[in-house]
Amino acid sequence: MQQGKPITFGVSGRLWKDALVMYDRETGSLWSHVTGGAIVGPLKGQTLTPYPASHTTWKQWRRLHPDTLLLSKQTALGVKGTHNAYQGYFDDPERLGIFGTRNPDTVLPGKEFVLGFSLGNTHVAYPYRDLNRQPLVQDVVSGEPILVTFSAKEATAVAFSRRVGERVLEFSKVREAGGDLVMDDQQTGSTWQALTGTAIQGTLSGSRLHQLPATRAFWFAWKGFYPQTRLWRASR
Amino acid sequence: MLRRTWNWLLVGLVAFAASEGSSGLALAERAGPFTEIVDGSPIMTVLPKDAIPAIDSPKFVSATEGDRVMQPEEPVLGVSDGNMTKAYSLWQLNHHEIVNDRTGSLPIAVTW
Repeated sequence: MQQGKPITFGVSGRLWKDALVMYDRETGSLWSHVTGGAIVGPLKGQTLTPYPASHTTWKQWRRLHPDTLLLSKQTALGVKGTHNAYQGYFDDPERLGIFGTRNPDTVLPGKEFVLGFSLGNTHVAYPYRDLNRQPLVQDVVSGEPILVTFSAKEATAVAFSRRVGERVLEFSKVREAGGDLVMDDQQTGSTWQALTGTAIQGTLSGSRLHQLPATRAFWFAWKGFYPQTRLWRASR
Repeated sequence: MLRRTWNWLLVGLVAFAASEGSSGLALAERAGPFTEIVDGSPIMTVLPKDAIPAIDSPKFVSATEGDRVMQPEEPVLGVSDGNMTKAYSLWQLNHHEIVNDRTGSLPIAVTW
């Protein structure tokens, strides 16, 4: 991005497919925050570039990134967000969206968490219940060798590319070492932090796997947005 | 021409798709009429525009200071560009849904 002014977003007060619709303050176009695409207005058809982010706990994030900053919770009215206002919704397996959406595919419970992402025209979902059984997945999506890692303790799933320079790496299974979830690559034997994709030991030490933009979503919502999604399942 | 210009403007814009299919769910009773159907799904109006205020000038505190207001198990969305690392509490984002921010020189929108 190198030219022009960035646009900024506000909350439209609308929902599409049970998820946030943003508007941009420059043109008033409406945007889905799931697809990053403008769905109504002058910018309809444009899409934002997704940026990688991790869903995890404060404890875990802070341990992996001791120098992290935190968005200040202080407001003029005191500290905001001291509990989950949507806890009841998260806890109720029967409530799908605010208007009572039907689970489009009962192969999984509607409220099952999946890690979902898109590469090329392919959409994929990795259910947390399956990652719990197999916390390291090496897959190929749209021709790209990818890796999904999972911490059961923190219910954290992250996706990476397995390309590092000219190499395509293969990893051994994850193990715990010094409180960290780590894995070794078979090509160089380097040791990597599984949740940050950073090599911490060996010849590749200091290298970082390219993290893929992915989101944690309820299954019903992901399937609603991407009916053609591929669904990965752990082998039994 | 306009389209091309916007393309440029948009190249660096970033959205964290953080769908839970959950936003605004306590407000079902106030659901209003929908305005348009896109891709077979209606856009439902549940609140006035900006009733949930996005954050435009985000301020950040250190991790140590963060410990005073965060629960260890509190869910966060975290981003790191290799130089700067930031966390956003989801319990806090419940009340804002969008943060217009930057990471390095890249403008990003953190959404929930």
